[in-house]
Amino acid sequence: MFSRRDRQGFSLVEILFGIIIFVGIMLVFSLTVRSATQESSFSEDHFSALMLTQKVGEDLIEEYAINPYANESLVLDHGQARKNSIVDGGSVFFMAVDDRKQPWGRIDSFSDGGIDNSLQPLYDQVQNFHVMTSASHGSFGGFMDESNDMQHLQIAMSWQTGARSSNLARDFFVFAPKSIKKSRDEFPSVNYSDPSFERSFRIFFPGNQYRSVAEIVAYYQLDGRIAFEYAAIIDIFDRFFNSTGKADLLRDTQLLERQLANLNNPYLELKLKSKIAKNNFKLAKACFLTLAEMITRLKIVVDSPDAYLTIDKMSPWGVKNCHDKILWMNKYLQSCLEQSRRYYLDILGTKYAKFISVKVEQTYILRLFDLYRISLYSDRGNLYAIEYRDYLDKIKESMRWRNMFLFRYASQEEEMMRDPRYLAQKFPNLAVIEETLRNRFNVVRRFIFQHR
Amino acid sequence: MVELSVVVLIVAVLASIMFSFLSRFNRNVAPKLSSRLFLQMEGRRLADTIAYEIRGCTDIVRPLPGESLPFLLVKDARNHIRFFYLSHDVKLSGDLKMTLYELLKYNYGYTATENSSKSLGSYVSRISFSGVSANSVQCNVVVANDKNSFQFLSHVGLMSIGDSDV
Repeated sequence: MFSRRDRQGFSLVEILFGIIIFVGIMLVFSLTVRSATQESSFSEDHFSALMLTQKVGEDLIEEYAINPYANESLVLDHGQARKNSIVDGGSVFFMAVDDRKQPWGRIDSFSDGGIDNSLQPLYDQVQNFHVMTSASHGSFGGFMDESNDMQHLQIAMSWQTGARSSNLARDFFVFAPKSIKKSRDEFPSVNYSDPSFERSFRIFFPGNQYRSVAEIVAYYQLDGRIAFEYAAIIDIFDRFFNSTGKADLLRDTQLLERQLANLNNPYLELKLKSKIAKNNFKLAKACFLTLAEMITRLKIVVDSPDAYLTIDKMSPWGVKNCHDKILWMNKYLQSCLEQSRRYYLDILGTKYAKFISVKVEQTYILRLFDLYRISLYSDRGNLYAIEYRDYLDKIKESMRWRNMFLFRYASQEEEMMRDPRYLAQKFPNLAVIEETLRNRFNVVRRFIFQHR
Repeated sequence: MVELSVVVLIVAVLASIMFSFLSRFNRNVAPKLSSRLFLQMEGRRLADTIAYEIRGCTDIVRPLPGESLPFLLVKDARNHIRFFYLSHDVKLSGDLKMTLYELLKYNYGYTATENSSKSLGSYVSRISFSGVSANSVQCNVVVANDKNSFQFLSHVGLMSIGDSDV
């Protein structure tokens, strides 16, 4: 028999222990390698998720920059957030990625724009990715945006790396102005102690040049307020033309129009037309503010129970002159809007396309949206509605494969403008225009025609 | 004798398993893993650089909206033109036996001294800049080496300078 001391080599049990230790080491090693591979895959996916989230964020910023109701055009309303696949046209944010097929120069979201199997290796990288977006009324901490001008946007990107599910969330605020926008131009106000006001007042009572305003009022036992309002209308009208800014703008516009008639250089023509369009837009704004104030004054007269008696005692020429000024201001407003619209449409034509940058083109397209919207509330609103619909169709046609943001905005606008009242609800500045040009002006105009 | 044979057999099997495992790891997994991490690093660097360079600009000259091009022409606030384009990286392409490019930026100033060229990154296999709107550009970049390729999308907005006019 061999003694234990004499025995050489390993017993089977020792070898088995050795094997177990070896297998353990190999297992740990393979797990480490596997974990490193998984971490590397996760890191790659995380980077992809970061870039895709950033893209969705930029898209949203871009959308809101032109459209305060982007949450409606993109169906982002709170509570309706859906999980959409990134690939195969599943998400609106990944439908215009690259122009890969003919015809070149248009990213067709149905055939070549999205992330499909032909876009490798991106398709394989992100086919497990899903995006969820939602928008809500902006509030954070103790702050609540009462004017409803801020939108709180949330983006959640989720994906699968092997058996591991991950997600990346990002939220931010965007400015989406929906409240009334204050004009930088001041509303015209009347200074009753100004000599020019007294001159305007005396127009209504000729032959009383030796009496003071107070004496005239006392003599005629007038409701002085009515004569005062008429005088204020004339004063406001005169100051529209006498103010330095407006007079310069008018003179400048007339000069530019004369220069334009003698030009034969398309680039210079474009510059002049752009300036004229802009000047007319500014003049239209000033006209509207003046007209609104004139209408307010005459509305006081219309609403006064003694208006008819009082007006009969006043100079008929003075009253007619005053009424004509209101009608004239309305016509001038419509003319400025028409001129501005005509020039902007001309600039956006093919003749000047090579001189206009994409950014400027977008600015002018959006300005025409504003001009058409205002025109919807004018006397010929129905005709302008037809013209506006044609314009929106053209924008949709030209932007469908070029600028999805403008395409969506034009499509949404087409829906909204079917009912100008609905449009006015959406844009409070338009509600002011509607109230002034449609409702109040019509009352005032009826009164004017009754006194002809 | 039988015990010895069994032991030798077991040790031989284990040694071969270990050898094949380690050689496989050295041959395939380790280089792939490191090349993958390297590409991610290169991709992140490129994405940051492209975003930094484009965000400093105010106007896109080319591509026009709806167009995808392998180069980008933009203007900055001083009206300097920045041109981003690919240049064939001969050395890297030769080393890795595949076609790779270097992304370069050329800055055109008003004077010759203001002109400058700068490399923004290597290992670029494909790049396309797409015009998707007036104020942003979309970059579709593929970085690659002999083991891996990685693609990312980057949507970069331009510097906002308010209302634009002719």
